[in-house]
Amino acid sequence: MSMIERFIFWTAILILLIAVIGVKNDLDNLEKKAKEASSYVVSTDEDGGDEE
Amino acid sequence: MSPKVERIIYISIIAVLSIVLFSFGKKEVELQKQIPITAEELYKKLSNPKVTIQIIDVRPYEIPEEEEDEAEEIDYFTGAHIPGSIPFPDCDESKIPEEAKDQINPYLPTVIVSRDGDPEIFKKCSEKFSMAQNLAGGIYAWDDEGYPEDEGEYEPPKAGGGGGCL
Repeated sequence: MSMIERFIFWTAILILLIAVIGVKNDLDNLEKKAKEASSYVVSTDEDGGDEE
Repeated sequence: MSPKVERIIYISIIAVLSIVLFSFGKKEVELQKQIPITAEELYKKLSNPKVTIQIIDVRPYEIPEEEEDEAEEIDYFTGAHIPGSIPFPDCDESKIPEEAKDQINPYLPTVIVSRDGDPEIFKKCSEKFSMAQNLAGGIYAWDDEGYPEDEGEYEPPKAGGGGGCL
């Protein structure tokens, strides 16, 4: 296996790793937002119930 | 280590990472659906010409004659709507006005606008679009913020496309 081939493989792996880490961070942020959104829906539902 | 084995190891690592990336991407789209977009966020997105976004309005299109006296304008598309939004009453294909039929693109990032952001209506409609978000508070929230509104019948954009610009 030539050095060039090895270099190409490592470059591809590095790019994929960086992409996975980036998307994972986005996912964590989205999960946080989704939790906030669902708790907001629950609390507004409860408020509505109280009004009734 | 023989070159053949080494190559197989590299390709396996790349394949595993690609699968992980794909599954994360899929999960991200699913999560996006759960998070409603606020009127402010939507306004900012629409103000940016680089962002392509489709707004689907699921409220009834016109005020029925028998309800004309009691109905509020904001409850109907022709009474008030977000500029560039496309009418899709109750997410029912048979209720789409003729001129709006060819304008709906299920593959564009879409924001679903209802009267008050009802999650049930959104759930029903989001199945028809690959990337859909609910407008939190619906048209009432948009109206409360004082953002621009159009009124009257739907007019398709002259240059084609999915609409959704201020």
